[in-house]
Amino acid sequence: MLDLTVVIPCHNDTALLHRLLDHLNNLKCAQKVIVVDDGSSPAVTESELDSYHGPDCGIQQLTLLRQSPAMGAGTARNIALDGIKSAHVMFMDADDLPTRELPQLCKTLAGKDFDFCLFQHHDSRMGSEQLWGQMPFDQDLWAASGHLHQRLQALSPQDASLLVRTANYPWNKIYRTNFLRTYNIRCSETLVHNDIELHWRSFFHAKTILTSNHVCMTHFVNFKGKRLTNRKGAERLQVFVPLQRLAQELKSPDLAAYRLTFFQFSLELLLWARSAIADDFYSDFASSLTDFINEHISRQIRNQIQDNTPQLWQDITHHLSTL
Amino acid sequence: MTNSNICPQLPDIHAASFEGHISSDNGAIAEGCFIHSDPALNLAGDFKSSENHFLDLSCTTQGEGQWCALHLPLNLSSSADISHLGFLCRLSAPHPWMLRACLRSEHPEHGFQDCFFPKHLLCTERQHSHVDVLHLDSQPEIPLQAQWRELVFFLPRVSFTLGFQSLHIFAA
Repeated sequence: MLDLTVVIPCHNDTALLHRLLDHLNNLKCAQKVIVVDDGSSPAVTESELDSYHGPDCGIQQLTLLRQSPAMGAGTARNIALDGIKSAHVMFMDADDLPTRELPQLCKTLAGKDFDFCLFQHHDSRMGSEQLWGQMPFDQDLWAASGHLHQRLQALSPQDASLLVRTANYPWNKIYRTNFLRTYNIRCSETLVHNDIELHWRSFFHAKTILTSNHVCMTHFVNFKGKRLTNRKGAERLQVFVPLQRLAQELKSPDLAAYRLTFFQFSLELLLWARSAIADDFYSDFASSLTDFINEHISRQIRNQIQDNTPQLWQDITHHLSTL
Repeated sequence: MTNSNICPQLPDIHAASFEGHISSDNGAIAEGCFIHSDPALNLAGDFKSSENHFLDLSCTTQGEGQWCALHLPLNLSSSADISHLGFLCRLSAPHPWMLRACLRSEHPEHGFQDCFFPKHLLCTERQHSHVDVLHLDSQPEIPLQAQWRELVFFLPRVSFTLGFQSLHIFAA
């Protein structure tokens, strides 16, 4: 079996955390779990987690860490990453659920050499339409890469530049722990968009990426409530933190192959962030957008974006012109 | 897994011949297999099972009630190792009826949790086969572990006659 630790950041998600731990315990694919309580009120306690681990349980070792005040899931994952001793690590969100295919993938991966394995997932928005699997954007990328129906396959650099465009989720990958440590690949310590650096830097630096068509996680999307994905305040401006860092790293000639796709992704994300941010913060957002484009997106890349995705460029220039 | 693993009573019921009466107070048909109805229905009736003919039911109701169902026990405390649960049955009825089937799982807080199979079962005067299956990962509300589970067929809440020529349960 794969030597695997699952890291779960948790903020006021007790019921869902219990559901996830119950699932992990029954699936028996992760011997170790680290729960990082991100400033929950009331705090998660060791006693309430007692029933989910033990020598006769699927989870044999469960560690509870706490950071207070809440600093976001990215910081929580990084704290856990520092203490992991397993050869492999997965990050799960408390509101998601692993499927019965995850143990199958773990068995397949045991003994194999890889930096990370990207697998498919089910998005609850598709479930509402009786369709099992990913949202169409991700599904189309997998199909274009030729990996959609492959049980386990190594990813070529060319196909990696396609699949890097999939949703920047932290929980659709199984990582080799030392790969993350060697290249200091971590989450951004921002309240939102803290998954972007983990995702992109993993692609930047991996030598061996495996893909699997196992659907190993169900991702639940809730459009209401106070989840960070639903936030509209100034925290949305933090989107520029990981983007600036990655743009800086992309100046390396070794990463030239990722430049166009990264900046296309960045501009699409920034357009979405614009729609997700309250109008009070638009002026600051527009100013940061202008700086980001001027500092990092060369004339050559701009021309390529304009040629490849004219609507995207038109929408961006429209926002810039309204300053 | 097939009948003998997931519902050990089924092969015995298929092979045996027996009959009896059911009422609101006593819905037992075979070991672990029973009709449970809202007492307000004041259900009364007969059942019959003969060799290679699973179960005929003929029931009358005297009141209005909220439920009437056929319960079959499942030997499935853990569903972690299977991806699908399904059933195949052949049924008919002199008058048309629509039934629903669900997987019922014990739940520590709510007593039980029902997950309905996607299709309605249509009983008509001509026998026909009905197959349905649950993809368990698509139904996150189904607990991976449960102290007991049942296959439940929700029956008409008025007087009815219908017959299951056969019933088979499978898991994979």
